Amino acid sequence: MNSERNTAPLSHEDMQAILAVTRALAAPFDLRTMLAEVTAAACRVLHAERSSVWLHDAQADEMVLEVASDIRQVRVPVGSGLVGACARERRLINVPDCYADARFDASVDKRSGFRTRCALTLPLVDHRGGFVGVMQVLNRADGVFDGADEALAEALAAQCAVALARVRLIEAVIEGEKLRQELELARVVQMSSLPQSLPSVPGYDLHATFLPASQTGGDTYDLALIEQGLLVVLGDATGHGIAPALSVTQMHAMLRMALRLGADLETAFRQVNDQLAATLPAGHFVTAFIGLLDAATHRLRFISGGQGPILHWRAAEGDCVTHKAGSFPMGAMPIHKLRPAVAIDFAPGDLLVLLSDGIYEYEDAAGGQFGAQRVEQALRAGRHESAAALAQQLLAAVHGFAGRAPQADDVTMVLVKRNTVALN
Amino acid sequence: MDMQVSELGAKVTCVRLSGRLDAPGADGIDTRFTAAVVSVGRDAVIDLSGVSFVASMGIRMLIAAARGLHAKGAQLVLFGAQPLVYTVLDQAALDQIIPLVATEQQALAKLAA
Repeated sequence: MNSERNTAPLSHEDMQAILAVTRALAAPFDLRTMLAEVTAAACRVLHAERSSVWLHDAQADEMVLEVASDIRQVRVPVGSGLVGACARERRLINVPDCYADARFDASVDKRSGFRTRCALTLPLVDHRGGFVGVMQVLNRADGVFDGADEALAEALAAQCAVALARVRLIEAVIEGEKLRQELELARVVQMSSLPQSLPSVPGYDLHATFLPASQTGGDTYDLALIEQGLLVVLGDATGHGIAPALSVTQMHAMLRMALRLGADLETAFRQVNDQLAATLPAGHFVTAFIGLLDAATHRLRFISGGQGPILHWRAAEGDCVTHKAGSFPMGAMPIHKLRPAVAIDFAPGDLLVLLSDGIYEYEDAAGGQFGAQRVEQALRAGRHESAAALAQQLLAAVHGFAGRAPQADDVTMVLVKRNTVALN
Repeated sequence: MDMQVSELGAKVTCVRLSGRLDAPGADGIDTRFTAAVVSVGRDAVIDLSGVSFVASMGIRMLIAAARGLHAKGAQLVLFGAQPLVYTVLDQAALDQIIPLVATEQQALAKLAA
């Protein structure tokens, strides 16, 4: 090695080159641009024919070649070749004659057609001391790499590691922001399908509560006067992220359309189910209660696809009748044989309560769930209240149980109560 | 949530589940469960006797497996559910698409029928 170059301060050109790299690395926001800047700068500053950056895949414990001018998609295990040796030993390796060094792996040369003479290989260590990758420069134009080159390369590697950590952080933020925006969009679509106001049905007290969860959920509800009667819907698409909100919105829109086109309850249920089965991705489905109330005869007919329990508080008897779903969750499979709709006759003071999983499965900090028993207790306690007041009491009971535990799923309640005294 | 996969004869996959099949439980085994049951594409029986609790995400996992197997011309049968688990599955009318029986013998008989 050249001792004179070892002790000489950085030349004006070298200093300028390093500062240019520093400036360039402050700007890029994506990994590839940043790495391209680093490798180009390494070649320039170190007068090398080629340079590359290998990132550490911690899961596979392999080094992955991310940037090189003529070869891509190369992986080497940590410990293999000069890059692997550098990754294992976490120190700079300066090899003046690669083909004379036992650690050198010539297979990359064979694949690229390049012939490596000398190599300078350095670990990339971020500001917290974490190993993130390896930088390698090959073939100094006028000889081999010396001590001055090592100092320059280490300065460059430090810049690279810091920039790499920053770019990865930015990418994580951007990815998080994208997901947040997509969720927000799905929420807007989901909310747009909910009724703006509840209909007025003589002799009945209607109430709906919808509390969306922040990250996931896919509930919907409907209370609307249509030609066939009062439409009562509670839907809940299971899953994480954006998909449930979109699935449940599809179900709701198709249901409204089928009923508007004059379909009866059974036809609408079957058609919507079979459409969802044909179009929803595997593993996606919607539990849904779909009912039609004839306010003149006080008879509610419903079909429930996987949505249960369905609670009918009978005022005269002072009990709560629980109905289970009559069909499987909508969209899980096509319907071959649909069970008949269930009929409930509303006596004065009777109450229908539909609750999404978000109520039953609301967890406290210890992981315990609110459950059906507490629901029934709350209904019994508030049975004389208006539908809105009862919903509020139920929600207070849920929050009282859960304490400060966050809401993990959409919470939706639909209550239909027949008034005890006819209102003028 | 734990799962053990075995073969019953040459044609049936048996998966024994134990623990809470709630959202974290289902998330923890979903990929392995799908790989063991759906990817193989053979008739399968699921032993639920070790499952103490099931929530909507657990039901979702079972339905997804049944649907995946159905598409491959195979069947899924559940057996051994504890009363609390049985009630939840029954409330959701799951038995209409996935037979739910008491014992392993009944599950195998259901597949053979």
